Amino acid sequence: MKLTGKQTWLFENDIYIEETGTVVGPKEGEGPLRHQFDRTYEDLYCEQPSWELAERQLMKEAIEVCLEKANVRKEAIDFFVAGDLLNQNVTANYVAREMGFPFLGVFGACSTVMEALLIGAMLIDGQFARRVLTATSSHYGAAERQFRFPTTLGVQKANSAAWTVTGGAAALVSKQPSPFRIRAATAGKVIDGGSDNPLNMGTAMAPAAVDTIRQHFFDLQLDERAYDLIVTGDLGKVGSIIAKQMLKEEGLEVGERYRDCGVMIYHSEQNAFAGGSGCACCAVVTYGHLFNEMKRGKVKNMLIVATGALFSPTMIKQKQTIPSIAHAVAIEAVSR
Amino acid sequence: MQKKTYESIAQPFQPSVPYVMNAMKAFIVGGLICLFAQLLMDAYRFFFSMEGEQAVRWVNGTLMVAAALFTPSGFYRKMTQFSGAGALVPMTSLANIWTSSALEYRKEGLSEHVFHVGGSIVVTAVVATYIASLFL
Repeated sequence: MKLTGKQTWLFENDIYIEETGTVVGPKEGEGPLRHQFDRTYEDLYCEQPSWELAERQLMKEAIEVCLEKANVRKEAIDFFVAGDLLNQNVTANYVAREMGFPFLGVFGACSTVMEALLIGAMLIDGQFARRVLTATSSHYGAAERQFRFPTTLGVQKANSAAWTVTGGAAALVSKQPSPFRIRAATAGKVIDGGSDNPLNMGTAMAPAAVDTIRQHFFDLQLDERAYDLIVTGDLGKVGSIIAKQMLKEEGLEVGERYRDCGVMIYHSEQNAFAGGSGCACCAVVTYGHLFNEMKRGKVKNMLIVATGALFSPTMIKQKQTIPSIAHAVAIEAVSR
Repeated sequence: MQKKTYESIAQPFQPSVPYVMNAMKAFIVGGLICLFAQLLMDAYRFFFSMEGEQAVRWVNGTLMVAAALFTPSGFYRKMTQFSGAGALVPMTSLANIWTSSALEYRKEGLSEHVFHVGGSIVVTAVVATYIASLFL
C-alpha cells in the first residue's frame, strides 16, 4: 500500500522531476532571486495585448524552456496536468489546446503547483504514464482585476496584502534519473479559519499549511528534523509568522528550517506589502531558486507546502469566509 | 476550526496600521492638491477674467482631466497608496475610478465596463440627489 497514514503517499519507486522551466515578469526579475529563473520579461504585458494573454505566454514559454532543457520532444509527453488562478482555468486550457497534450486541469488556487506535481508523481508511480508535464502560472494584472480592482485604481492597500507573482513554471515528471527525487506527498484538507479579508490571504491560509504539515509528519512518523527545509508557498510576512507559531504549539519546532516563497521572492523595498502570492510564487521559487540550492548541495531534502486561498469575490460579497488548502510534496536531492 | 480561537491566535501577528502617519500624509498631499486648485482658480480668474462660479467649474474639470491623465502610468495609484484619503478627494478619485475601469476592461467592451467599479457611486449620487431634492 502506497498510502501511508491518512493523507500521505510514499513513493517507493524512484520518481524524478526530470527538468523544470521558469519564466517571470519584471518585478520578480528585479527581486533577490533574479538570477535563479530561466527567463525574465521586462514588460508586464510580455509582448502580448492583454494580461491574460501575457499569462498564457508565460506558461507556454515555461513549458518550452522545460522541454528544451530536458531535450524531450512534445510527442514524448503522455499527459499534461496544469492549472492557474483565472476563472475556468483559462491559461492552462488554452496552453493545452496549443500544445495538443492529453490534459487534466486542476485547481487549488496557489497550491496548484504541488497538486499537479503530486498527481503527476502518482501517474508515473502507478505506471499510468511515462512522462507527465505539470505547469502553473499567475499574472499580477490578470489576478488583480479578476479578484480585486483594476490595476490603475487608486486604493490604499494594507501591509497584510500580497502581490501576485507574474510568472509561469513547468516541471517534467518521469522515471528518468535527475538530481530531484519525489519521496512523498500529502494532500491537504480544506481548512477555514474564518478569515474574510481578501487583502490578508496569509492569515487565511496559515491554518491550512499547518494542518497539512502536521498531518505529513504524523502520517510518516517523522519529526521536523527529517527535512533541511520546510517551505510554504505564499503565506507572506504575516501568514508565515502565524504558521510558525501554530507549528510550535503543535510541537514542531521548525525554526531556521522554515522558509516562505512569498517572503523570499521580493526585496522589502520593492513595495510588495506582505510578499508574493499566486500560483507562480511557490512554483518559480521552488523550481528556480530551491532546486538550484539542491543542485549546489546546500539542501539535501525539503518539504514544499504550496498554500492556496480558495477565494472567490462572489462568495466574499455574500459574506462567506475564505477557505484554504495546502498540498505538500517532499523532494530529495540525488547525488550522481 | 473554530473561528474565535483562530482569530485570537492570528490577531497578535497582524501588522499595525500607522494611523497617525497615514493622517499626516493624507493632510499634506490633500492640502497640496487643494493649494494647486486654489492657484489654478486664481490663474483662471487673472488670465481668462473668469467669474467665481465659472472658475470653480473649470478648476474641477482640470483636476479631473489631470487625474485621468495620471491614471494609465500608475502614478495615481502610487500616489493614493502613499497618501490614502489625501488623494481620494472625490473629484479626482472619481476620474481615476472611471478611467482605470475603462482601461482595464477595454478588451471586453469599454462602454459596459466604465462603471464596473464606480457604478455604486453613480447609484448613491442619484438616490441622494433625489432625496435631497424632496426637501429643497
